[in-house]
Amino acid sequence: MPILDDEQFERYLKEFRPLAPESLQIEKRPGKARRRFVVTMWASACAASLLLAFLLWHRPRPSQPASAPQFAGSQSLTIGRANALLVHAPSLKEAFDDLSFQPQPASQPEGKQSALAALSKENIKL
Amino acid sequence: MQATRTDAAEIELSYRRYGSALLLFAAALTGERSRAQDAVHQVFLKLLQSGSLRDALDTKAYLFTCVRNAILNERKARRRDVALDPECAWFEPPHRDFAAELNLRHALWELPEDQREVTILHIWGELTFAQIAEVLSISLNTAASRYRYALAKLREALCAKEDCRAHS
Repeated sequence: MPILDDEQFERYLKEFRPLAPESLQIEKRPGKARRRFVVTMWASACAASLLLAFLLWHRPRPSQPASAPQFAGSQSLTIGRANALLVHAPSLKEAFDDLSFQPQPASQPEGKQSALAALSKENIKL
Repeated sequence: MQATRTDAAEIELSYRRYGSALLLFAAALTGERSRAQDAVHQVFLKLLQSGSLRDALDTKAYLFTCVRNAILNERKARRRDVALDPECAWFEPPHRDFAAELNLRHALWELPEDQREVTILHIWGELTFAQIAEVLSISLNTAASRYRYALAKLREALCAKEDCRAHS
């Protein structure tokens, strides 16, 4: 090694580069805020489930709703009326029962009769 | 107090920037790379857990002080003298001259600890004498004179080793 002055010797020493350390192992843990959020969400979900179960258990069971629209034979059946009946009827069967048609008297102008009535009066000889 | 994301990024940047010099400094005090690594990691993990570097006026000097304190505390707990681990390299030598690396490591290790500290802080830590004085709690003149003595001893030791290599 040649004789070096201080500056040259420093430069020589700096050619030796210190080795890099291993990478810093940082344990990633969920923060407090996130943990609190998760706990709150779970608690809310549990509370909501319990409330729903309670409401389903104690819901009023309708016997015969007073406001259920009665289908009168004289009224014509429309989609809206059928829908209202289905909504208010306690069960599907009862809704269908209500929807059963009543025979409607055909109203014909005076002096005229329906073809069906005329044919029924005829004595057809075969 | 957990370091915020900005603080953590700043700490990680400091680790990348000064990690090598800090590790060398720690190895020069402990003699073992694994203990040096532990000390450096301990400092940075504490920083990440408990706060930030914002309070430090001089980040680099502060980090060297922290590493030194960590080693002194650990040494106090162990209560035993340290020895140089010959197996672990401290430097990446120029031109893959591993014999020169070993010589330098031995020469550094043979220096008195106070001179070794100053030498490493000044040459590889790139700290000014004022910063070194702050890290080691000594006067600026003491830091400078320790460095001069250390440099002279190092040169002597390395030249003697080189002569031996040349003549062998």
